[in-house]
Amino acid sequence: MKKPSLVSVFFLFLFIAILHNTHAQSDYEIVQGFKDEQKEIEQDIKNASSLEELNTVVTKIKEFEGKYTEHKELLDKSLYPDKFNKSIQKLNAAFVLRQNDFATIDVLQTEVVELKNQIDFLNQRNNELIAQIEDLKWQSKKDKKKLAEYENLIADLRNSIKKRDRLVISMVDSLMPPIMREKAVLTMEDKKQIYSDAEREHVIDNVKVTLRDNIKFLEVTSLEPDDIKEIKKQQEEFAGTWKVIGPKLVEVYADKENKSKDLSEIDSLFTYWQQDAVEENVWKSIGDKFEENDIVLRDFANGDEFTSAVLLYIDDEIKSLGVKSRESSEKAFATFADSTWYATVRPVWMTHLTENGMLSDENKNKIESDIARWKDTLYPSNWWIYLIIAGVLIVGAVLFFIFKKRKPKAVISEEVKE
Amino acid sequence: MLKIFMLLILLSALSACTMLTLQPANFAWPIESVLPIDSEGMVMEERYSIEFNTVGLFYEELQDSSAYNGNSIRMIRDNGGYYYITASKFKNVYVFRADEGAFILHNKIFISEFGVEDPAFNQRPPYIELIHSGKKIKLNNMGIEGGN
Repeated sequence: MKKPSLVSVFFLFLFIAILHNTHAQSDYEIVQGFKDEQKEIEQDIKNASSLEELNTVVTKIKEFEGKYTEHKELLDKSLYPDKFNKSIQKLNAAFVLRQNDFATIDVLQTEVVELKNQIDFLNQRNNELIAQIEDLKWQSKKDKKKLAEYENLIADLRNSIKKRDRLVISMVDSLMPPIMREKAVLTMEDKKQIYSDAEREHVIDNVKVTLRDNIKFLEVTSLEPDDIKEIKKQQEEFAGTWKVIGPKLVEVYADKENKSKDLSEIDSLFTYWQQDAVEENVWKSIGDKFEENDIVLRDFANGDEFTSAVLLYIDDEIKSLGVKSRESSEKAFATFADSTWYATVRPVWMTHLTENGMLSDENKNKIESDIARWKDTLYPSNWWIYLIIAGVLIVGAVLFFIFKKRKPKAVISEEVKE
Repeated sequence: MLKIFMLLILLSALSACTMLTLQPANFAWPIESVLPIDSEGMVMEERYSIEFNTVGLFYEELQDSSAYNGNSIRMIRDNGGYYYITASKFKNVYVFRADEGAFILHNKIFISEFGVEDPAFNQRPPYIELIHSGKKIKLNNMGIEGGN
């Protein structure tokens, strides 16, 4: 074997010396490099927009750990307040936390997609039901079979709308995690996220359709106080969610003119549904009760108009007493007072109307005193005949006693004479 | 009289011997600090809470008291508590010790006539390692290890 020459040995030493020198590295640079790479990975974790993207960070963390393990002692001394292991643990913890975010987002997205499908189905179904109800409404007045069908459809529509409302509220609710709701001002990132979710799920449109359907439902149906209570509960639930989410959505859509209009339309629709539509339905439902018994009242939409309409009807009936046949007048009174007012309107609606300030006590008393007046006019009281009979009886009785007392005296005087 | 004088000297020497000393103590920083200089020539080391003025240092090194502008210094402390300071283009490493409200120059170690390029200090107990232009030089508060 050939021995290495002196020149070769010299070059070998020179090479080792150069290599050694090129590896002369500042500890500061190592620590700084560690800190920079750590920050970079933290940023990657934060910026990951999908689970797939996030999973690539795992490899980075492992490589990072492997690369700096040889400098562990230096890093333990230099990193403050953390040490090497703690820094790696922090990265892993940040990764797991973000992974959970994606798992939650994934579940929420699946839920929202399911919600959207269900809402779409219910929207279509509600439209069909509303159309059928409008068709059946008039037929049901003449046909008992149709009436049953009509009532079933109303019940179906009520349930369907209620179900859809809950879904829409869940959808609106899922737009913003609780932490985001508590923020005084949303970040650009938050706004982007909400905007893309809201657009993807057509949240604004669905809220509008929900409100319109609820208004339509009130327009086509006759309800009872219990139904109204249920609707008010539903409105409170919606208002509670919208109060929190609505202003944030306004913030998100501030620079989108069309959407800002949509949001103000939602506000108007909600105000109308909450304040006017329910009240209109109450008066319409009361009007339907009269209509069911063929009592035609002038249109009314509030307590004063209702009172005027009823008083006018009674007044007309009283005026027509001599004109119409007695039988017809009596039937009109029985239908109005016995079959409508005292049978349904008063027991079913009066408490609701007075408690909600829709009808004043004064108006209620006016109506009832007019009904009494109508009755008195129709069935006049014969108290004066009874008074005369009573008077005659009393006078007769008095005369009888007077006469009876006088008769024995005459007999005695006759006996004395004898 | 002489006896009394001798006794006093002995007593004072004894009292000096009993001065409280905590040992061992290690003042070494694990890594150097790279400190940017502000417009007033001040630097601030946040981790160890040290703040001082560098104008005098630049004047001593470059005979230009405004040369600190836009510059930064590299600083490290050794086991014994001495501070080593240098900067890019400096020909020397300055060794200071802390005194009441001041840094007192302890030693000025000459490194290169052409000035150091991208210098860096490493803590290599019992030395401080200076890296410049890929070369490593071992320093202590007395000068370059092995001397030159």
